[in-house]
Amino acid sequence: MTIKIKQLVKTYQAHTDFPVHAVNQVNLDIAQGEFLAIMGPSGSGKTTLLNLLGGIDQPSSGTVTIDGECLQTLSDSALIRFRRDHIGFIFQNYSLLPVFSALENVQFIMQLQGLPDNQCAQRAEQLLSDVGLAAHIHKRPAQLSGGQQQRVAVARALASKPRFILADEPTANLDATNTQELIHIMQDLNQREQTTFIFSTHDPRVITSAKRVINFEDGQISSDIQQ
Amino acid sequence: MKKRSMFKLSWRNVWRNPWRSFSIIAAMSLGLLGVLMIMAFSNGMTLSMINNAIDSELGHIQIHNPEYLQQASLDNSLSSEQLLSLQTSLDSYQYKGEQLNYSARLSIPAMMATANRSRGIRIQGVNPMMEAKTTNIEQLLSQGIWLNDSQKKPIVISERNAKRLNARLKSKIIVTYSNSNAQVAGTAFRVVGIFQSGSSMFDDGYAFVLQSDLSSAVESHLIQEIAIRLPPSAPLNQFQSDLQQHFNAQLSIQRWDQRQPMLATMIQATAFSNAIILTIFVCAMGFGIINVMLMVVFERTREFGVLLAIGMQSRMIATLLLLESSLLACVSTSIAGLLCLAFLSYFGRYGLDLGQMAQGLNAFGSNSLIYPQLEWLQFCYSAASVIVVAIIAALVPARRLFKLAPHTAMAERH
Ligand SMILES: Nc1ncnc2c1ncn2[C@@H]1O[C@H](COP(=O)(O)OP(=O)(O)O)[C@@H](O)[C@H]1O
Ligand SMILES: [Mg+2]
Repeated sequence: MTIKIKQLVKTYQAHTDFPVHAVNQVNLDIAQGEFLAIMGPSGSGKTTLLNLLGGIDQPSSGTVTIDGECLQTLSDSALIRFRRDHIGFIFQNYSLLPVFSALENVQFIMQLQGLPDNQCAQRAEQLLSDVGLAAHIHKRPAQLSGGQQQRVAVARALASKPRFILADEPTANLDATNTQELIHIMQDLNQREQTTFIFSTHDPRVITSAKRVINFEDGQISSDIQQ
Repeated sequence: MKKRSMFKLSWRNVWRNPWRSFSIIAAMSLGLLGVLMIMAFSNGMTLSMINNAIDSELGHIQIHNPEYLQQASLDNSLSSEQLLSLQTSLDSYQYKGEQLNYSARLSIPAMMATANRSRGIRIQGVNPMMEAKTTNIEQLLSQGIWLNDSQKKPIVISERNAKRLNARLKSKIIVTYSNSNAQVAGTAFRVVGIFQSGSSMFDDGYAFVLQSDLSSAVESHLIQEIAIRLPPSAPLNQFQSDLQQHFNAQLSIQRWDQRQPMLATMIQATAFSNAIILTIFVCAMGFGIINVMLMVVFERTREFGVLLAIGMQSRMIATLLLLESSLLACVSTSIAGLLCLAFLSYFGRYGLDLGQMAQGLNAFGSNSLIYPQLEWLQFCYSAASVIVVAIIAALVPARRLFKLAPHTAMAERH
């Protein structure tokens, strides 16, 4: 699995007197099995970059190519399918379906893929016990703590067997203990299954666990360090 | 994605805001219930009108000399050959082992008078047995008894006419008419019975005497009208066309709704006003649904953004919304249906007494005790139109989903 980002630019308010270059001429290669943290202050463009990487947003110019597939050439619905089948998402504010239990939330994405029900259920249960929620699979998000919800989100992101997982500030709403737990789970998956994680954060405690840290400032990469 | 999981998701979404769903469901089901009840009552009224007309006056089929319909006089009677041949064919009729009943009437316009008042009516010279089997006139008597051959020149009049003529049981009434020599003549009758039907037009218009008395009075043994009552659920049109063929066009053979086109018009008018009421309700409901579903889209924009991001197609999310709207409609129609069933099973049995409006209703020929009725088909198309409109109304907000970009949707702060 490789991700190639070339000359990527995203400019907001392009035709005004004050254009915002949220992502400005970024070039970046990411390989299979990386555990990559994108560091940077608020407003530096991390979310915009991850959105472009995940095909949730389209760049003003430049390309994102995943395993030879250029996201900019895909139609809207093909792009949605690509996201469903190849990218796992974890969002800052959990973003689970409130009317579904943990199990149903994880199953949901596999059902979207059209997998048979029993297979979905089995895999969803496995994934939830992998993230330490075996006892809570029938609870709805409202009955779970923030940390637990975020672990459900990790299980959901893994469910579709994606090529990589994007996590935009996954620990921003978590306390120290939950942050550590979540990072451990992600690290563990990364080591055991070679799952590629790309996440943004401005939490210094999270940085230390990353194998590669990219510093992002004003829409540009200011440093790219392998730890 | 499986239909079952879509269904589960939309069903739960309906109930995530229970108060809102409850209020829209309450509004829809009560509204629909109202529409159904109005339909049921106007059906009941129309049916009461029709049944009154058939039961007390028309029968299912009426036979006349075609000329008689232009001018009701003794000149335009049925010929004796026609009568004979009619009697043979009517007597031989059978449907599922049951025979029909008919009444051959000597029926002419006349004037009814007491000492100081008079009224124009149609006088019906009938065979009391046959008339009582064909119509329900005997059951309509409120005072006295029905005609029989042992009475001396008996007459049965309505309460309304009795009041107008200032007559009572045993009062003497002079009936004047023009006889077969086109001379005005009169005969005295004595009131033996007083009736009251649900229709003031019928009450105003008719009085009954023995056929033998009337025919000797007018010096004619001919018959002007035959009213036929078929056994229950016997095929009416079939019977009519068979008779018509048999007497090819020498006789006027009319169904009740042809004899009194007002009744047929009334049925159409009822259907039409039912349709209008349903349409108005369904439109109002549609706007309500648009409003609710717009609110849903607005509130759940972030969630829809997430669904788009993780790979649910916009058209599927739109389908979800349509499902939610149609579920609201389905729940509402079920509730309305059940309530309607409860109301109808009560009022359908005991009737609803609109006593205070009796005069107005009787003027239309309807009883004041109304048994509301609803046909299954009427319920089905009302329910179907509610569901269809709910889906159509949800299309408006659903269209917005196609313009939704996941990253902006997720940035929403709702
Ligand atoms: N939809 C938008 N319209 C205009 N400006 C935006 C929009 N989204 C982000 N920005 C701007 O782009 C810059 C980068 O934002 P973002 O990617 O959210 O940064 P971060 O995630 O690092 O906080 C910020 O200056 C922000 O104000
Ligand atoms: Mg951000």
